[in-house]
Amino acid sequence: MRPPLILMRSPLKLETRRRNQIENYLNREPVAEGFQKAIEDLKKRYPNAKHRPVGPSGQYNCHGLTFAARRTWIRDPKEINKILDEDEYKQIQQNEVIPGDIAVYYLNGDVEHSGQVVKRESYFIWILSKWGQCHEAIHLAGDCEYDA
Amino acid sequence: MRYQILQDGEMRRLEDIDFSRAELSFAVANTPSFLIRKLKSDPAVIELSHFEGNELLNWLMESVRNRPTSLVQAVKPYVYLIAIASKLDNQFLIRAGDIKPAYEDDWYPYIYRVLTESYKPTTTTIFSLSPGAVASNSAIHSATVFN
Repeated sequence: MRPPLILMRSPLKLETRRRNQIENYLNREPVAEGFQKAIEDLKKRYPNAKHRPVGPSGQYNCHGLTFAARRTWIRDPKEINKILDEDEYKQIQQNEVIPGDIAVYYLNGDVEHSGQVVKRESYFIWILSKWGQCHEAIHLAGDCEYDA
Repeated sequence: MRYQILQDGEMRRLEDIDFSRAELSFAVANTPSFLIRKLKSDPAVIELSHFEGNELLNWLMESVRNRPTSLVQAVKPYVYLIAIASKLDNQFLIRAGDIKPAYEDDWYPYIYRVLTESYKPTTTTIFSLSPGAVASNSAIHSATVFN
């Protein structure tokens, strides 16, 4: 029996709790040259963050890390709103935050970034997130390229 | 006899455009909408928007001819596309619709669609504010935590 054909770019079966497909694609192509330098630049720009030695990778993005266990790239902000709705997430206050919660970054109503809360120290919330095709970082909620 | 002394404007050359900020925006972009927002205020896009529309179309066509092998090659098509979308005359953006990457790229058609749907001819006006005047930013920034 021949093994199944694996395309360089293809979606995974990924559903919300209400069994609706989440639009996604897994990109198995190698990333272009220059991302490693971008990672080194980001490390200098954000010295207080912990930069995890993973990436660069185009296989998953921040939303793929937050909502799909690093397996795929979720591109469309509308899909994130669908997940938040259909997985029944609810918004909480800053003093209720505990590790394991998720942070979603909005700008003018558009979802631009997401991550997982890994630590809270008083008003300081530490987030684990993936920065585009670059790497993963553990950073203070407001200490990243994404407006917060 | 009255006379004027004139000096020509500095000649703009593609080689002088600095794409480094655009590269970083592309490197950290999780969504095409983030990339569009960042590039709209990128110095490279602002500089390129002064070039002729036909020149931009030629550079766009050239940039999608081969699969990008570097970060700067990867971001250039979007930089040109957004510079084209900033033109007052939307014929250039319409013509850009005929230009397709010779390789698979999910973001390109998505970004082109967003740009055509949100096309607004723009001009840049510089205002001098009097001392004490306050400029406000209407953008709403927020990070929301869920559990």
